[in-house]
Amino acid sequence: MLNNLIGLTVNGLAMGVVYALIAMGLILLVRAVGVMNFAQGDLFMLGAYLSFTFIVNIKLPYWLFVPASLISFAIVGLIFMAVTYWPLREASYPQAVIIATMGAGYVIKELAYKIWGPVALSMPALVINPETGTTKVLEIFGIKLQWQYVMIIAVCAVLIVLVFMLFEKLYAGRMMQATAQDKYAAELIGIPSVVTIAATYMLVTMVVSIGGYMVAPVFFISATLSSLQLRAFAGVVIGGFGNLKGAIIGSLIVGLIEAYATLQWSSYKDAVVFIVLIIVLIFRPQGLFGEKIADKA
Amino acid sequence: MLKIKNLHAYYGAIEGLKGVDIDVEDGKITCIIGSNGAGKTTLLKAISGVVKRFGSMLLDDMEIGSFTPRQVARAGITHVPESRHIFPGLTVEKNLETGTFPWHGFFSNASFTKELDEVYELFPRLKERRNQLGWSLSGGEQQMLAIGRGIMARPKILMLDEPSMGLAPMLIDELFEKIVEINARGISILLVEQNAHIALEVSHNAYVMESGKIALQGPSISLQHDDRVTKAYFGSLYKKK
Amino acid sequence: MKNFTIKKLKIRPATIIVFVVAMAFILLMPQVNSGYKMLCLNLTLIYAMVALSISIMLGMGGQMTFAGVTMMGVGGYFTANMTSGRLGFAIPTLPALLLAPLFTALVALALGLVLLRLRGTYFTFATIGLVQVAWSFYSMNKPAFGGYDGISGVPKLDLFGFVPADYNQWFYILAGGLVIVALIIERIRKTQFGRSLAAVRDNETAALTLGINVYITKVYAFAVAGAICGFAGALYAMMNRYISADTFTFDVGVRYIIMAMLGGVNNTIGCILGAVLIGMLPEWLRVLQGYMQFIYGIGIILLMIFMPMGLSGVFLTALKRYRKKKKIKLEHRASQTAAEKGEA
Repeated sequence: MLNNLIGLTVNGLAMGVVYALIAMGLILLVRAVGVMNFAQGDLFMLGAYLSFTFIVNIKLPYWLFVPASLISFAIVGLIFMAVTYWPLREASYPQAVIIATMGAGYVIKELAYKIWGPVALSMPALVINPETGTTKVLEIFGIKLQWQYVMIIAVCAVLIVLVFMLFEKLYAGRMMQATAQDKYAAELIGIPSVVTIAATYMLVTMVVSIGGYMVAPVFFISATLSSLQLRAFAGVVIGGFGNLKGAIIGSLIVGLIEAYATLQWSSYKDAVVFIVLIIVLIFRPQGLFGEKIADKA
Repeated sequence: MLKIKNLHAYYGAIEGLKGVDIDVEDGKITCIIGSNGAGKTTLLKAISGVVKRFGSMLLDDMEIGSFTPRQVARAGITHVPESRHIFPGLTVEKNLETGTFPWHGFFSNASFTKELDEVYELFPRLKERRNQLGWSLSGGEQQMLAIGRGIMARPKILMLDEPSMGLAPMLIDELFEKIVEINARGISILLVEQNAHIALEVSHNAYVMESGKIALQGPSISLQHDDRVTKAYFGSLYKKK
Repeated sequence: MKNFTIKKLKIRPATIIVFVVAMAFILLMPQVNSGYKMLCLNLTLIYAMVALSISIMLGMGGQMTFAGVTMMGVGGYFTANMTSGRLGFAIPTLPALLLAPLFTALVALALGLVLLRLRGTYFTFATIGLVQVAWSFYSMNKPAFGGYDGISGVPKLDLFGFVPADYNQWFYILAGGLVIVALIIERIRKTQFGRSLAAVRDNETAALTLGINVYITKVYAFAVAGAICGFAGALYAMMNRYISADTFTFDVGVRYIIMAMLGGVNNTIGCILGAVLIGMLPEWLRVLQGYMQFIYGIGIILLMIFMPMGLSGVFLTALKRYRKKKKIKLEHRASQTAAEKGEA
């Protein structure tokens, strides 16, 4: 029983940190450009697909794969910004950008379909058991855990901390936040908003794509990966809208809820997460850590 | 210090400034007064480079007429916009920090504790609230924060756009005392104000603007009792009772 | 152009044009299409109804909601359960068709009362949650929704003895249904309710000060939108003879929003147009079929950049400009003749 519970916790945390990466990206974009990005999951999926190409098709050695993938993720981020944000930055209709991201999501899904085909792809895990060829299992105190999950937690946790530090502690991160909060004032101070926004987009895409890469061996790579963004949405809301810390913790909670839900209501675990979301929205819309900012009239 | 000659500024096709000559003297407070729509804010925007403009602006013999906002800020002219525009989601201290960007840049390690202490000394209320988020400050405190943020840039000229707006009279007096103090520390001030009364009281030189042009100029003391100032606000048919 | 007056009933020229085009469309389509193409067209008509429901919530009310697809499911599953006999009894199809929107409206009313206490983005997220929860139940729960296998054996609609034998005959029924829905929506725009809703969209606080009960207005809108989706779902179930959960996913919900935005979210004809474009273009442009999603995706981005009011918005803006030019020309000519007369 304990074995089971710990295994579930590890699972839950592993998915949780992945959701947290997606959620962080969402919040950063909301704060940087005021946009809810409905194509976040598609970027996540694209990251998985690109990684697949690099590792399985091109068979890049690891030390080449890391820089190559990071650079291509950054480029994707720039293209995404150029298409969905830049032409719409003066838009009078705020929902226009959201809809544009939905359109971009379509394009990305279609691109993926065209390039990689409809069949779900499988990606080898990071640590493979040489005998069985499947993911290696780690044993601690008699508890069996999948190595991949442990790696996911480790890598993603590091990423989360790095991004958090960048934005909350670093000077440059502060300037990026400032641009997001008041463009005019930032302009007068001389902060180049193009640079900060582009940097945000690139960072978000890189982080989210790495998440896709980490998760790929656990799921199959296919279009369904993009729907994981809905869990991240739930995490953002539960943790507190607009708050980086909230997004991270909310996503971890979502991951754990999902995992524990399988104990009792296995087939309805989706429903459980989103019922929790609705309950949180009704009784505490600002989430766990959100601040009640007065509505602008 | 800042000599402006024949400055024109445009919002799209609309000409907001129609050839303006202004001299901001070193170490003095120069005020620009005039009614709404006279072009005062446009003037500041033209100087800081956020609107399209033509004309010559010499900052100590350096031509800044075609500088970008970043370059203007680095050259030593800081624009504190009307309606404050402080960063609502950052704390007071972080707001002040952002003010250092013109000379700090993204990646340098330079410390700004000296500037920070200066601002806190000037505005003790800000020091009390150093970890409070910007949106929770009152109007007067936000104005102090905006000015403090401007000072953090180590400006030669501090441009203030209607600092009295929306403030209670007692706060206005307090604020303008601070403005005089800032000037006493060696920072030249270009003050744009709707409140002609207090602007003329604290400043050394004054310019009265009307419809994008300078209607009147001179030492503030003489303009304080000049009928023409009122005419410029209310139109030439106005007669004081 | 002047309005016509027929026995005190003002008819705008635009209405006549729309009527003629619609009639032509309804008469023409079954001649040109059949079989699979007709099925696509029929589905498009059903999609159009859901898009119209989005027109109510988003176009008129300014609330972005993904719940349309779930409400369609409510109506569809209700119909399927009531008419297929799987619950041990079966009611005839026509009453089911009329009860489904009613039932869905009640469900939407109940949900709306709870969810619409949330404002703006929070509400939108709640609807996302709703879609996911509902989808989870739709696909997993066997007793109520048939689980993964869905519900089959749904009988065809029996409209006073007329049972559609093929998709062509279904077309007339669906076209009729769509016309009814469109007329209802147009009517709503002109009522007090419609105007209140528009006020809520433009500025909630201002609407409150005008004495509008913002909350109840939104709830009613949600219920009406739900009813329309339920109606669409019922028709879908009876035409398809089968219903399953993958028709009611979040991604499908996004599609409906795109349809509405494409055509012009606050314009009845626009929404129908948007649905037709997304539903039929893959068929009409067989050549480009592989690239359809690309075209939609890029199209919607371009549209958002240049014309967020959708295609109908483009059309109406062009019309306005044309009318303005004409007016200026007329005035110019009038002043010229006046000048000439003055000199004479």
